[in-house]
Amino acid sequence: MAILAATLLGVTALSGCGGDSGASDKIIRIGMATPGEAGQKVWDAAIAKFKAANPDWDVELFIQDDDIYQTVGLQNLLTGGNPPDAYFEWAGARTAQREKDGYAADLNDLIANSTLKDLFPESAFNSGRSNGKALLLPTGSDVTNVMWYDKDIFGKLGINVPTTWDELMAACAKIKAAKQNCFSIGNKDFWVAGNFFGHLYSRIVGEESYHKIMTKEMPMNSPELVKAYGVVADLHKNGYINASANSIADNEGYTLFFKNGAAMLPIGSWLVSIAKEEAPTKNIDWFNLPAFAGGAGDQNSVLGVTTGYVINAKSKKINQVIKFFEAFFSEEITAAWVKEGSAPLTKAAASGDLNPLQKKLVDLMTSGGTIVAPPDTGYDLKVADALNVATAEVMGGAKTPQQALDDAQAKIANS
Amino acid sequence: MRPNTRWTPFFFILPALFIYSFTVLIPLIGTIGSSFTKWNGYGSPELVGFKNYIRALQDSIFLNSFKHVFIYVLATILLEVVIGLVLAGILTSRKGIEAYRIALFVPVLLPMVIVAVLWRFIFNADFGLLNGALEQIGFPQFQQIWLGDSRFALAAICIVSGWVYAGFYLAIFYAGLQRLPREVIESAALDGAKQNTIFWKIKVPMIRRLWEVAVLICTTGGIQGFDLFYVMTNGGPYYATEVPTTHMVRMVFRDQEIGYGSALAVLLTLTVLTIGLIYSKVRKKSEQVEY
Repeated sequence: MAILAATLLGVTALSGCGGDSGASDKIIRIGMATPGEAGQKVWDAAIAKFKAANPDWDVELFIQDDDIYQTVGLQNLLTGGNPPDAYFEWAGARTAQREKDGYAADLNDLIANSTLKDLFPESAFNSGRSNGKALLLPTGSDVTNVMWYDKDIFGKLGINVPTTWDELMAACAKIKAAKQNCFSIGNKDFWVAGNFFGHLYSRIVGEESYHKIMTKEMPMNSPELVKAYGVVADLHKNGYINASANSIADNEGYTLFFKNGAAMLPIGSWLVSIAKEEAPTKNIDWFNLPAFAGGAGDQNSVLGVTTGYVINAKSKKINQVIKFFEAFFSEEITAAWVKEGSAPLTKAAASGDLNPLQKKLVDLMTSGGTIVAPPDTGYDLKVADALNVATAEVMGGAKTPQQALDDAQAKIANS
Repeated sequence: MRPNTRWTPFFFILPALFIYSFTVLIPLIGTIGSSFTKWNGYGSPELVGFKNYIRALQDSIFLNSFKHVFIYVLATILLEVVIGLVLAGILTSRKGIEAYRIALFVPVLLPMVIVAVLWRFIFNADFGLLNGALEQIGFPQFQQIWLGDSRFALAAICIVSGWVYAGFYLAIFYAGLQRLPREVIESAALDGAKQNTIFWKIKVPMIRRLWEVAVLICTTGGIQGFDLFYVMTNGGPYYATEVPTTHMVRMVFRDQEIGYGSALAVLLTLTVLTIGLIYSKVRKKSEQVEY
């Protein structure tokens, strides 16, 4: 294995300069995280529509597990043989990095010269821009953390939707007294608690300090962040988080919530379509992170990110890829996405019949609250990883806030 | 028949040499080369000398990962080799229990990722089989967060590894024990030796070569263990099950530190080679008759 590992590394190293999507076949390759069963059907419909108009062409999807795609998978796809012609990405630092590395095409002219310009409102491309270049064909704006709750449990325990952190803690005390987990968190891969508490940290230390910490302008063990981590330590001390949090994956966290194992689930907007598939009868709703009294940040802020597809600048099939996305974002396929539970950013979706939960999430994104970037998709992964591991350690009671953040700072400094 | 020219033999080995060079040699040299650079996989690598190696020797996660992997190796020698040996002893000493041999070998045939996923379900603290069973039989006080508690996570992985590979070593030892000359065993029995004594004092020493190789495979294979760790805990909780391979993969593929990851790969390779060489030397010194 060691020699194999060395060999693989060598292959990675040798292929690092490659990644030229120059295959002369008539196949469009698209890299993405798993779209779910319902999402896959919409993709199939979009591919069928494209192929009906372009019978000589085919579309091949490289589908990977979400976490693998975000961390290891996409990187490998881009640097390996037959790299994707287009790939799913999160707007922000990641997209900008792809552009810097030569893997993101400037879409300004391509959009202007295609029907895409008519399918989207002009503002839809803004969050995917970097240095004036449109880099992302947006598929949606994900609110990456809200608090999903079980309406039946809340009703049974006489809990109203909390509007402040203190009210949320009072609700948790009631839930715990009823021998229930307050929060279900599947944090094996760190990003779930990272998103939830990343949002909380930004509320407590303020968006500017949060941004400075995430961009290494301020040390991670700054006193204000240590204080913010104290809130997480309190949650652990009070036993409000499922004890299994650091050992279960995000989807196991959803299952725990769906099976009445917890009253609340801090996760993003994608739960709408997951709940539709896995727990269609579950009576759920959501609220944004409650206001933290005395917090330095915007207490109406929203943790969110625009997602979509980047076209590989090295692809030799860019015009055909654009044709595919014209089909993909057409009114017919948009309607299918809306039916599936997604909220596309196309004009047709705005006038469509969105799921009420999804519509509420879209309204939240446009409510005027400061949009805060999630640690893992908005910032350098190494910094996000250090922050998220520290969160996991404090959440699991393994370290004090000061110890965890001192270690996180040392990790960043040494890298 | 003599070759036409003195170059003829070299032409015959050329295809093999070509494949070996492109699949092992060149990537290996590439890895050693990039271990002296700072490189994210794109653009131009920057030469940094021994900086990556110095960093590796100061990286507490990497150093601790060796501690974890050595605990894992010791545990798997016990759970895989020793238990495999004992099971082989039981199966060879009793008639009519061949079906167990097949049953015990089945886990070896399962892909490790599937095994890891299955055991994740078993160890799941909220709705897993193990905690459920403990509840059902009246021992809820023994329920644990098996994969989320640093006291148990590594042990849980060792148990799964033992469950899989005990059958593999059983098959090796079973074949060896079957080949032992019957007259030796019968003589011992006639002299009044009990089954237990015959097994430990006669059979086991007679298959010494086999269990020496088994320990070597278990040790070097254990140090390079990856799939179980990656799927079951991904190095967590809080790096409590981090092993060199998971740390290396995180550095290379997540943090895009190809140079540093290459240095870790070189160090890991050197460790495995050193252990292998030391082991071979020790073995050579104590050569015994093989049956």
